[in-house]
Order: sequence, then structure tokens, then C-alpha cells
Amino acid sequence: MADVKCQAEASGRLPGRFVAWFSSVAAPAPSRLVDATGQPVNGPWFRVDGMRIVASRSALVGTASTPLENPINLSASRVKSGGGVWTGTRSDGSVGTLCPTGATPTTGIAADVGPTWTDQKVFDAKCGDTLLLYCFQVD
Amino acid sequence: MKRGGHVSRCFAAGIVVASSAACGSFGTTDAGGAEDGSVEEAAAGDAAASDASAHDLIAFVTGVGYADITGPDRSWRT
Repeated sequence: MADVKCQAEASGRLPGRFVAWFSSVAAPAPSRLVDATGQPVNGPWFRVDGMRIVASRSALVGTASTPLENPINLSASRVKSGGGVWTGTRSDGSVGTLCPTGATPTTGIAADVGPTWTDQKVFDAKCGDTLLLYCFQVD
Repeated sequence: MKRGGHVSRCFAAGIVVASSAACGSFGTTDAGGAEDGSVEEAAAGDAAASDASAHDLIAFVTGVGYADITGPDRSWRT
């Protein structure tokens, strides 16, 4: 579902295959960054304006105070956004609180470069809310 | 693709798509090469572009929000 939405937003704008930064019970988000052959994709990843987001996959979930060099706050069509993002993923890359089991599902903030990019603890999102998705190119 | 601080990148409709191989049908530029209007070269001294390579990848946030990311049992679906 989430991957389909990412691919749909990329379609016609960006080449390649995209997956959502989105954990499930079966797979934390970092493990989903694999190419068509199943090999891990290690980045680096850039925004659509050319600014580097992160040098490597490991840095995404590293212990640095600012894991991201620039926030993931531009859409495929270059629209800026700073809203909440569905991630289900803690800052260390592990599976966070998922819907529908979690009263407060793990979400991130698109404007942030700190660990809160994937796991913010301020806004209490609910499973029925409408939030954004991060999309990463893997092929 | 990296020459003298310039990095060749490909653009489509004003959007930096990627560099080199990932450009696909969007085409690439080469430092010092001709531009045809649909393809541009990244500015020299662009700190982000200075690390670009043939394996550049893009990440973006969706332009709209979604609430229907759940499966039949209402758990999240990737």
C-alpha cells in the first residue's frame, strides 16, 4: 500500500523504483531498502533539488544528533512539506509502534534532520490520521 | 562525471532527477558539454552535488497525506 503510493507519486516525474520508509511487523524500514535483486541499497540519497539527505543507509539510523544532512521535505514535484509522516520506525531503525495496536503510532516530521525525522514524540498521531510518507529510490 | 568541482546531473522539468546512469531517458550532462534546454549542468561549488556519483538515489516526501495505508485487518501495509 505505502510503496504503491510512493511509486504513484514518482511516476512521470522521477525514474526508478521507490519504496516507502515504512516498517511492518515483518520488516523494519531499513531492511526494505533493497534493489530488485534483493541486495541492500546503501545510498547516498538526494532530494529532488540535488541537496544530499544522507550519505548512507546506516547513517539514516545512526546515533548522530542529526542523522540527516538535509530534511526530506520536498515532494517528487518539488513541493515543500514539513508535516507528520507515517514511519512505524524508531530512530535506531527498529520497528516502532504500528497501527492498529499502538495508541500512538510511530511517526516522523518531514522538516527535521534529527532523530525525530523518523520518530517524533511530540505529536500524538492516531491511526486514522492523514499523514505523509517518505519514499526512497532503490533501483 | 565529476570534473573540476562540477558534477554532471540530469534534470527534467527543472527537477534534479539524478546523475549519470540513473538519468535514464532524462539524459545527462557532462561538464563542458552542450546543453539542449532540457538538460542542465549542476552549479559549480554545490556542496551537495560535490559528492554525487553514478549511483545517486532520490528520496522525497509525498506531496499529499494518506490515511488509507491499512490492510483488511486495519494493520499497516508496506
